[in-house]
Amino acid sequence: MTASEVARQQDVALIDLVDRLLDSGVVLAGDITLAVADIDLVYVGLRALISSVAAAEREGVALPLR
Amino acid sequence: MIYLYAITEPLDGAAGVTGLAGARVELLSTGGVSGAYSAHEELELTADPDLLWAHEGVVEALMARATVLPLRFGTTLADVAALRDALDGGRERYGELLQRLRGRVELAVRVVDASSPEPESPGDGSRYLADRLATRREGRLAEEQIHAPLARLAAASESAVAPAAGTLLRGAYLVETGEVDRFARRVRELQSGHPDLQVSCTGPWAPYSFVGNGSA
Repeated sequence: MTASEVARQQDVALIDLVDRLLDSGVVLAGDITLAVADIDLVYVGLRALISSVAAAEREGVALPLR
Repeated sequence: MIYLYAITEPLDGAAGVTGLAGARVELLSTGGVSGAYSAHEELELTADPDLLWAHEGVVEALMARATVLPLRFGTTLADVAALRDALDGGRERYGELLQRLRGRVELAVRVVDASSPEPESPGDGSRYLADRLATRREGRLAEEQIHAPLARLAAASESAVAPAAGTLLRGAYLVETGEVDRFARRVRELQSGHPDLQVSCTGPWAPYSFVGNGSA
């Protein structure tokens, strides 16, 4: 597996993690303390990540590992 | 305050499980379920990847020992007494969910267009609209071609067409533990049959997408 493939897998896992932990899971009514602004920030960051990963793959650029 | 990770089948202990900020994970058992939590004087909760992975790490450690209902990230209560009230109040619902989810895990699938160009810079409204419509159309096609065959391998499933810019389809599948390999093989087959798409699959996850209002 190339470095770019590993990096992409980690990125995809992080996006799937965010979808699960922030959008699903058992909700105890009224107890979520997380600020919505934080969630937006993460999502914006991840969307940018998806498109940059896709671009890097097309161009054959290896991405840095986290 | 206490931070909550999951509701589980009754467990004797969570020895050796470490939670957010390095805190020890403890269990409160009442009415046939256990609640996994850690106690904190202060805890700053942001959607930071390290914190999300720490929450997930606890859920996965518990998942190795019992059926779990993962809680949404960021759930806190004042104290253990409040947790006891919450668990007792939802006893019936949690018991039913635990029974339905026993021996099953969640797998996540994401489909993107393998060849789509970079999004144009904002400003060209009609181009943007055309792109969004194309994504919806391709997403619905991916729902037939990728989601439908995978859903047949699952006890329950959910899908979202064009859930985010650049993503054609997002799917969640509740699969018997013993069927995970078969599911992964099917994903690889579907990927081979659709080189125009990029199909990714992650998991096994705790059943985050199947603890909702009886949808599964």
